[in-house]
Amino acid sequence: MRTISNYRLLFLLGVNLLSIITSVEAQDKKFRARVSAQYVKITGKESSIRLSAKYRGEDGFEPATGLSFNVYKVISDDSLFLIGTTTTNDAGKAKVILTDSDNKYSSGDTIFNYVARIENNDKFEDSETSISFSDANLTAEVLSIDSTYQIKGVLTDHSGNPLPGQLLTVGLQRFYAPLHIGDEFYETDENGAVTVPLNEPMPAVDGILTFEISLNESDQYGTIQTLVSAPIGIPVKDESTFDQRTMWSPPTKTPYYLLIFPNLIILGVWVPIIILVINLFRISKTKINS
Amino acid sequence: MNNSYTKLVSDLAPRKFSWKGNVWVVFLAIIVLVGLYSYIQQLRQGLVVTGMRDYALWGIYISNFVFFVAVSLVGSLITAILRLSGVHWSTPLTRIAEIIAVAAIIMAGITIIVDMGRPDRMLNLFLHGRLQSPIIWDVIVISTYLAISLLFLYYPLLPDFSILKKHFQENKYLNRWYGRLSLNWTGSKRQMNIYSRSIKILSVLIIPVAFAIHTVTAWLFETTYRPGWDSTNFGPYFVAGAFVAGSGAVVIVMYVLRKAYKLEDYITDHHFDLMGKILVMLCLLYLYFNINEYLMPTYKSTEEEAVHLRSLFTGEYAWLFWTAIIGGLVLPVIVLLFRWGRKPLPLFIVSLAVVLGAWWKRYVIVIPTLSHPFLPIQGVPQSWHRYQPTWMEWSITMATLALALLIITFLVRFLPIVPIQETAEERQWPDSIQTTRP
Repeated sequence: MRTISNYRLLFLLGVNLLSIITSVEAQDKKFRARVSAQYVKITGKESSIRLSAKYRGEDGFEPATGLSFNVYKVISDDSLFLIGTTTTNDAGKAKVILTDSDNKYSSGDTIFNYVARIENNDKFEDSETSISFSDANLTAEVLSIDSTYQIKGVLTDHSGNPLPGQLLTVGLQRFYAPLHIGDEFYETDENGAVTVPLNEPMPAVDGILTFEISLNESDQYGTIQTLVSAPIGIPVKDESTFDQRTMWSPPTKTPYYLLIFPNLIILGVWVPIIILVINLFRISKTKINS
Repeated sequence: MNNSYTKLVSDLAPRKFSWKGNVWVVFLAIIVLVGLYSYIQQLRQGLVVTGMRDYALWGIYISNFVFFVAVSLVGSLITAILRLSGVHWSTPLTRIAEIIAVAAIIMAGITIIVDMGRPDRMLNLFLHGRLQSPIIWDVIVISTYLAISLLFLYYPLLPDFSILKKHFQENKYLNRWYGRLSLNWTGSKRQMNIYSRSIKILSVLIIPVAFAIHTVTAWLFETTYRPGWDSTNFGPYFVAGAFVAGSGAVVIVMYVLRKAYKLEDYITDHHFDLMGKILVMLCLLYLYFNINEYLMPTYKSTEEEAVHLRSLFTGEYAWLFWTAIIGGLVLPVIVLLFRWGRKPLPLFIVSLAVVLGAWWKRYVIVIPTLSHPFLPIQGVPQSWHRYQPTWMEWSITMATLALALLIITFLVRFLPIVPIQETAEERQWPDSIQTTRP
């Protein structure tokens, strides 16, 4: 009997040990994140490095949410300078805004180098992604030539030299997504310029059209976007009720009558209810002979 | 002390369940537990375990919710309206009506939580709810009606608790609890003044709130632009239907309790006869609203309404629709027009048909309309066009119904079914006053 009990004890110990090892292994198993980085410059607004991370989960590729990156600038002697930390959102995306000092060329440099690193993360393996780009400038203006409006964009490098042979897109800003104007792409000429005629009259609130010209995901310059507005559209009245108190507004913009009358009714019913509850206390406190 | 009065207290004081009562409780508890298992599965896996999809985004949970709201209206009918009208014959039925109202409104609230995909986010309803939405109106009015119904049940119990405290002198546990619940009730002049005034306020207050609760529930549908719900008449139509369902429920419960507790001296054949007359009047009124709701859209027969009405009259919902209309309204009216039809047993059977018909009528109001929207949804599988409740939905729905019956059963176990003090006063036994005073 004693031998059987010992075997049973050993077996249980073995099972426990196995489960502990398995659970430790399960805890140690980390995912490998697949990260892509892109430089995005919106002229006059901001320059940033945008990161997108995903991993192979149980249901295929899933966005890597809540993943922190340390973003470093590579200095000329290959040393790293931390410029910021960012964490991915629910879509697995994050960005680091580059300040003016981050975007200044050191003497002799023509290329910026940055590294985004995953370091000491509980869920993901340590890894790094690097990105290199040159700075470029994109300017845009709306011209009127022979009673026809045209939009002109000029792409130059950081020294102001034109960049020919680059593909730009031209679009009109709309609520959900830009509306393409003309062809899908326009190639810059020897002056680094594209000129796109605006043949169709387009409606806009107060007649103000906002165009966007973009160089998209260039290997050398990243994404550069420039916005330009001009009062050349067909004026339409802004009929949006966004700022008004309507039946379809959020709670902070409830119509006044709907705030006043229902609340008066609620008060009119709940005050007597409170009085009735108080009456119960009054009944319980009434002296026996009163 | 008057022997008749002692007998009255003894007859009407709460009693332990018989073996049949215990079997009944176990039976209900099993249904509730099966429903609870299904609900846990629903919480884990989400509403995908139900038959609800993009088309039928409301299913039997919502039709069941509307049914509970309808039944809860009975508290205001039997107690408040008849009390304010100076009708005294209804005294033995008031407590039953109030108990049913409380159980039904509690279950209405629980059923709406069951229908939520993420009940853990319920607080957001209060934090971010828009006063423009009828759903918020419903939340407000249901909680208000629950508060009033509880008060309306509790207030008339105060003198009875005092009587029960004395009656259960030898049972320490019950004596202590009834004593606490009686709030030191002695029947003194000052207490009577506060009590009478409070009952009057409650009787007046509960009627508009009761009407509001069912009208607002009707507005949940009416404010949505869909065939079958696009009506200006939905509020009164729902209220009329609610009175029918509630009255039927009262008759069923009073029949069962009269049998179980041998209350023939208090709930008499005369009460059944009068309740039968009320029920036939309410059924006729509801029938009138039904004719309005279905005849005019049939006459106009706009494209979408015609499709919807065809599905009700001759299509896939025809057997349910006609069963609810004929079995739950027309036949009951015919039977109840005869005196023999208002005898306890026939009236009980008729009321069962009325209540079952009322439940299915809510199903017929909710589901077919969702299957035929004005704007069909593109790109959904064909199976999503139709709604078929899953066994999990059925088990959860049955559990809510069983839980309502369980609440009624436990309230009946510890509260006097027929108001003792009021019955004694109506029978003009002065001892009743002495009993409530030291």
